[in-house]
Amino acid sequence: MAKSKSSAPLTPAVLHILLALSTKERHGYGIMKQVESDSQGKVNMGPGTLYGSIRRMIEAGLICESGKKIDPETDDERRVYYKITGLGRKALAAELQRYREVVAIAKQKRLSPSAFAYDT
Amino acid sequence: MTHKHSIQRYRRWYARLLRLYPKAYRERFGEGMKQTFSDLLRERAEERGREIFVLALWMFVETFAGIVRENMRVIIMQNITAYRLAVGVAFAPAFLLVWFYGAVAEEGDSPGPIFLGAVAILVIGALIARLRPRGMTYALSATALAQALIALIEMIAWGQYLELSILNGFFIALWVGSAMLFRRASASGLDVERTV
Repeated sequence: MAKSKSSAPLTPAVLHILLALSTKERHGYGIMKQVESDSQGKVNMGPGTLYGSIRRMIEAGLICESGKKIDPETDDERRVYYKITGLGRKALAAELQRYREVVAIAKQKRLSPSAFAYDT
Repeated sequence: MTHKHSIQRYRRWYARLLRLYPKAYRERFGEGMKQTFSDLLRERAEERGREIFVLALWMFVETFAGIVRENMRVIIMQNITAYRLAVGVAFAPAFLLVWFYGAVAEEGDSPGPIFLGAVAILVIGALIARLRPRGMTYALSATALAQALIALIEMIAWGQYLELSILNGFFIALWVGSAMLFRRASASGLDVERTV
């Protein structure tokens, strides 16, 4: 059960959230900022998408709540922090491995992004 | 200072919007969502001055999509044969009325906005009920009642009693049928989890 979940392909939002939480625990806004930074602004999530993904990831056992505390960098509100679980790390590793394999295939075929430019 | 007040105001509105989430979801994530909402607005206000309205509006729409998703998920998780059937039975006359209205209006012979009165009641009722079966029972009952009133008005205005009776009777039967199916879904306990 756990194995099949950890090896299933991830959605872009889930992948980016796992990446954001792979280095340290973060609250919702912290996750968003990290995702934005990691994706160089290409992945933009609103609160609805972010927390919907968080709910699904908690249910799948990929992340969990790590407690409520104050973030000194923002304000004095107590915030719920989230952290990656062992299963989440396995899922992230499996996804990254999948990406590596795809890139390797592309290299074997000598494909590059410009190979698909439709400049007729 | 103005931004601070605007952000507080938007946050209050956002808190109201979050009430549309299923209770369990709202209790778990509502506070975090409000904080994230405020954080994003504050960041935008610091970066680009006054452009926070557009961002707030985008987050309202984006969150509303999430609300629909979460409510549908809760409904789908339940035993919902009656509920699905009720939605289908309600959708069919609504679609027919809108389609027929569009077709007639295209011919340059608009029957007037009253023709869509029942659909409007249904949409408003569904929003108020947040798609919960018990609320939808009332919404569909109100829709059937509105359809009957519309039929009465049309008959007074245009005559054609037989045609209008058959046409509106058909729609009323579907609205009532849907209300009864929603009632059955409600009786099977579908409302329990969704109590807000």
